[in-house]
Amino acid sequence: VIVVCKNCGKTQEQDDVFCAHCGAKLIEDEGLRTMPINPNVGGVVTTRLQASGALTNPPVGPARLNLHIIRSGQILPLDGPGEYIVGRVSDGQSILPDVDLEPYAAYESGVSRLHVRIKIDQINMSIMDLGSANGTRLNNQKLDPHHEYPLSNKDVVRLGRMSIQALVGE
Amino acid sequence: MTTHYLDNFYARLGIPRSANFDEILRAYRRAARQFHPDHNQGKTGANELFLLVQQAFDTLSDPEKRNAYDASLPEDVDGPPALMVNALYSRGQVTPGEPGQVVYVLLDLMPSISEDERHNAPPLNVALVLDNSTSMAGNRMGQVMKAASQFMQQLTPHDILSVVAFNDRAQVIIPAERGQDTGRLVSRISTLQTSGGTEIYQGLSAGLKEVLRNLRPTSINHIVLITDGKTYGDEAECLKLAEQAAAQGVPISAVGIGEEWNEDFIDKLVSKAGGSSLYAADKSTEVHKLLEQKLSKLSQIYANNVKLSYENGPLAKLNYVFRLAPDVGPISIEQPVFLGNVPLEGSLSVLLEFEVDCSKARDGELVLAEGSLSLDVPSRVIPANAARFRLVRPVVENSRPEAPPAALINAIGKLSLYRMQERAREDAERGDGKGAAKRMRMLATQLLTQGERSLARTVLLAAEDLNEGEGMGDKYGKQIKYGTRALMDITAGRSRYRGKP
Repeated sequence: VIVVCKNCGKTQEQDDVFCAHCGAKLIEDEGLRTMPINPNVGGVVTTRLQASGALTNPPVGPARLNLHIIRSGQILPLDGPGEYIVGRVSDGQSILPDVDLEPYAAYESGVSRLHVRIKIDQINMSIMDLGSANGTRLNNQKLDPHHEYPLSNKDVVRLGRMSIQALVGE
Repeated sequence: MTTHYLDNFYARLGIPRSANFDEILRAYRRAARQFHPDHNQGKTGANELFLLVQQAFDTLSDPEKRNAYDASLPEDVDGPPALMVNALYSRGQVTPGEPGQVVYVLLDLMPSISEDERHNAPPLNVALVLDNSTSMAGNRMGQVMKAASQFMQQLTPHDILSVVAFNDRAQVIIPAERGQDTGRLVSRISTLQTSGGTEIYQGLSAGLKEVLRNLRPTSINHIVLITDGKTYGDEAECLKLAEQAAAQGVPISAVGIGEEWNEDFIDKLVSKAGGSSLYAADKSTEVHKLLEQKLSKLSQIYANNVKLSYENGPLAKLNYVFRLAPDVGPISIEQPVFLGNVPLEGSLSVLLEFEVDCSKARDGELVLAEGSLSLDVPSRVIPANAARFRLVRPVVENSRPEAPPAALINAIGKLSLYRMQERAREDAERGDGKGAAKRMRMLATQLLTQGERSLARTVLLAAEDLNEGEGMGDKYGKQIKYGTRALMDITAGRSRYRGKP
């Protein structure tokens, strides 16, 4: 079996875990996986908290994150801490993304319906590819699907062929 | 059978084969406490190691299962005394017919002792070998003295500390004697003057002489070298001396201050006997902090001079050994391989890399390496009784490659970054500045995706220099080498690399 690095295209001399040339990961690991649970195993059953009044802490994120669509210069602001799924809306879709890129020629640029998830909490921001068809690059580095990567101010994210810059603003 | 010394259920719990149920239960409770993921936040492979211990207990605590297991174990295989040994593999099996497969093994050694024994630290027999050449004057010397005097005040009456100062000649400032008056020692060290050049051999040979005066298997013997300069023309002699020291069971560790010292030479020197090297940037308190840490770690040693003698399997080759804890650093694969020490708290974790050529492998098992592991436990006066080990992987036709344990991937990933800078250094040494610069830029990209911004910036600056044919600068070289090394240090927490923003 000949192993070729997906990131830099070099053929590997050895069947290693990471590319000896560019340091990218060569193996596919499972990422997030659904585990079967055995309903017959005894134990404590936790009941879910009702959403009403459970959110007592007002979001106090470091700042606001804006998505800057580089080609058109458009700025899409996100509402403070939380999780945002970025993708495009198409007909007959049951789960809708939080940020719809369809108005910015998303389909033509190869953006998936549910492409990436951006998570913003009090201190950190992260990005995770949701198994998109054309993949995601962060500062030109290909992301493994279903793995969280740290996202910082001014990072450039490529969804398919669409480039978006993360800008932290007030 | 794949269950030999380094990976059998008795070794996992650190008990002899004759252990009764009570002993097994006690050992399990101790092990479970130490390996519990809650106590091991961020430790490489903590979860997986916990499961290995669990599995061992499940079998050994059930008389039927234990009998069946014992029957499968060769007679002469036993658990090591008072040490838990676990091995994690990056592959469940290897595939026949394929050359160039890489298998990583994470070895984890932990003391298996009660709480009381934990406080029973063996006495120290340490020599501080201190560079007092002209360049050490001022802040550097001040900080070294401060750390040394603090260390002296923590010594117990059983500890022995000697101090040797060297420039082009060596001078014994404090001879190796027990129970000296701390106040007098501190005043003697504070009168040190700086002058002359740096000849490390002079210092080391005087330091070794001091340690050998009180050499006992029941104490922790160690030489700590503190220097800020390149040594002149005596590197080969230094290395020979380090080998002699190693043969007598005296490891050498080093703290390099500032930019001028030769980190490649120092690494070679300390890895001869399982010591470690540290880089102290020339900032106001860094030297003091690092030296203090280094010295206090010495009094926290459980087993010393842990070493492997091995023979590669017919189709395998040990390529690389790297220590993840207690002190992060590369280990020379020259025989015997000195792994370092097992601390009282935490573990000795070593990552081994094997290259396997399976083009001729048949179904069955493939031996990575076999040999023996030996160590000294000063507090127990355990005779340096080597125990056999055998690292084996099953050969399975058409096996679907499975992903290594997540924790292992993480460690291997960090190691691959360290090796990228190593390869870049090799390129630069060969005069291939462009190639080295390219590698450096790749490294910077990887560092950026992991959020290591300041280190990535340093790497990019170095890449620019290399691209213009300037070679790896002393300063960037050290920052990058020790910076990528620090990525693997799980004990340092978040405060690992602090470059300029």
